[in-house]
Amino acid sequence: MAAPKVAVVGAGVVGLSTALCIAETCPSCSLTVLSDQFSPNTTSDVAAGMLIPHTYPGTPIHVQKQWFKETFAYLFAISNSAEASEAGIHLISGWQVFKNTPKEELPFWSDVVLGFRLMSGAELQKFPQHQFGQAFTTLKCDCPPYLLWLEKRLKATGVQICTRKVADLWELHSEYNVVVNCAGIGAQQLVGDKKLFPVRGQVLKVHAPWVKNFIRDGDGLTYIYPGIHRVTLGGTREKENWSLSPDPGTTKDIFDRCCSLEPSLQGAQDIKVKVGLRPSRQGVRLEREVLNQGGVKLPVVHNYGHGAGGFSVHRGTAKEAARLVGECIAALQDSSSRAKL
Amino acid sequence: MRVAIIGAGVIGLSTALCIHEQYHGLVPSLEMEVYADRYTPHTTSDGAAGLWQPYLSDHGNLQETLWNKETFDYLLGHLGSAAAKEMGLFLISGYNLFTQPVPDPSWKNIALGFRNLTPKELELFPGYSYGWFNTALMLECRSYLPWLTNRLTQRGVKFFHKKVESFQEVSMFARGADVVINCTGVRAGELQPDPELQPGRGQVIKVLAPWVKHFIITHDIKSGIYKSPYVIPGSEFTVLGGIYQHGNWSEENSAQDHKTIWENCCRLLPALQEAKIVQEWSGLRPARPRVRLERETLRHGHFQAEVIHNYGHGGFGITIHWGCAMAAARLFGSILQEKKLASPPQPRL
Repeated sequence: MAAPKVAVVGAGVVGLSTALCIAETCPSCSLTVLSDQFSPNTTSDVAAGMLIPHTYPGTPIHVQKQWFKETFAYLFAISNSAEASEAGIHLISGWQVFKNTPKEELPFWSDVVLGFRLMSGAELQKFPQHQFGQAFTTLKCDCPPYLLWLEKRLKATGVQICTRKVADLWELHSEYNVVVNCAGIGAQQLVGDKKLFPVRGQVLKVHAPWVKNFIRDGDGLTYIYPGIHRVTLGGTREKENWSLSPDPGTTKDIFDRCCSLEPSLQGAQDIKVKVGLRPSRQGVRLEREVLNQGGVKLPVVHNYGHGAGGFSVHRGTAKEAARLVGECIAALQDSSSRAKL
Repeated sequence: MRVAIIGAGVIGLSTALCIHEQYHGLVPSLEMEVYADRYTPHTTSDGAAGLWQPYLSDHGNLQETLWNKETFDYLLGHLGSAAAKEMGLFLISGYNLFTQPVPDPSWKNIALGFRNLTPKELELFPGYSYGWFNTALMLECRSYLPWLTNRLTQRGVKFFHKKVESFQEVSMFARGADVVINCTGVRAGELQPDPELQPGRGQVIKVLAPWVKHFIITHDIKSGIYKSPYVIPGSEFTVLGGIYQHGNWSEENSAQDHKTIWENCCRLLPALQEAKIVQEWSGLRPARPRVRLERETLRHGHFQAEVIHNYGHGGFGITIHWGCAMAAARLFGSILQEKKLASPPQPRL
């Protein structure tokens, strides 16, 4: 096959990073990104982009850890380079605090982040309602900068980026040899995956530049994540709630919870409210499928369902998706050369 | 009882507040005045980044270590208060980097979460093979000094924009001060010669680099303190520095020093090349082998005045200020005792 034509559906962090991995591993591929939404209107743009993994009950831990390690290493190298500020990647230190000591004192990722250790008694005094805590340094991907940087790198490799609402993957079968489905929450409608459900998250993005450390309650509901220009205050985890409209009662509740963790936030200015729907699933759907209609086949690679942990594993899953695309192309080349016999 | 404070940097204003808070109730006649030729934002304190961090070694000076601890604990106690933002006070974590292993510093148990750097962390800093990580405090004087000024003004303390030429000037005339607090920093020698006090000239570049969330202080043990690049992110700007010139009185920015700071800091953090330069500033650290914090009785004919010296805090003035203010307040208390002026409030008949 001369130049395999590959389409990536979705332009959030998963779609763009998957496209970039495919461009890196398959230079002969003709690659197009198709999406109806781009930064700053993707789910990724709402997220804080913190590299703190979410645990997927349906994916083996060693696989999740590998994805996280690869993502961390990739971003660590960027944060250390001259491109760090353009890419929106920066190191951030802080604390994860628990009201009650968790069953698992050392999460699976504790040796991937930097300097992980348990908090001292003196440090915990700052959090009178919490009796246990972990201190570490991790990375944060600020959006839009990170998505814009990925787009820039894609365009530099000749990837086409097009605005297009894809209603059905099959509609692409005549234009593309392989389709990669990175549609996030859109996959529910796109491929009818009933195992995929939204977990609604409302956040506040505020101006509070004196906050230099992150603070996260181990329950995952309350967090303070300082970004380059704004601090993300969160949040909520509302299963099966599809509403993208900010709720004022929720805004006040988030603000109060964050101020009780970090009182100086009372002085925060210019509060902006955002809502995103985490594309949640028991496990990330990262696998090949062959769509078949009337003898015509369309190989598909699915890479969606990252829920609350998209940023933490994006590069690792993108690399695996690119590998699967390579397998699809090899299979196509194999069958086309056999057809010639 | 008249008290004159000379100097309105972090030392002068905090000493004034500490004394007023502690003794105003005991000495109803207490009248306090501040004299200075420079006020915020033109003091040495204003130019400093504001990071709480003592020098690497206290050279056995446990007194100073205690004052550093008292300052840290005092500030930590204010962190959760509504005043913190107005004071310019916030927590910050970061790195101290070395080219060889060094002993732990005197302040390792004062700062929060002190630990050595892991090998992976050291990969961030090529050329450095050893280091520390800890959480400390920032106290930005361009907020803290106005906050102190407001507290003092509310208490009725008066401020005079005046260059005091001698102790006699404020203490010896008819309504002169009974106690003079000398917080004149690097120019204390103009009031009373002190060969041990020397300027430790520093220069800094202030940039916009809001992605930097940690302080990074490098050390070159052979060259000495502050001669190696450092990056300290503030609430608005990030301060780049690494200049210490003993004996240099120039407050002019030097192009050579700018180049040194810029190149060294960009080597340390390559992304800084994208940072926009906003300001350049030079200041004179009031360097002394140890802080001068002591009483002296000055006599001139019939007049007598008590002076409390509180100067010579080098590059750690913010770090040590409150411990010294409390020590100065104790000296003030002993003066009151001697004058039998400290009495409990009398019931009104």
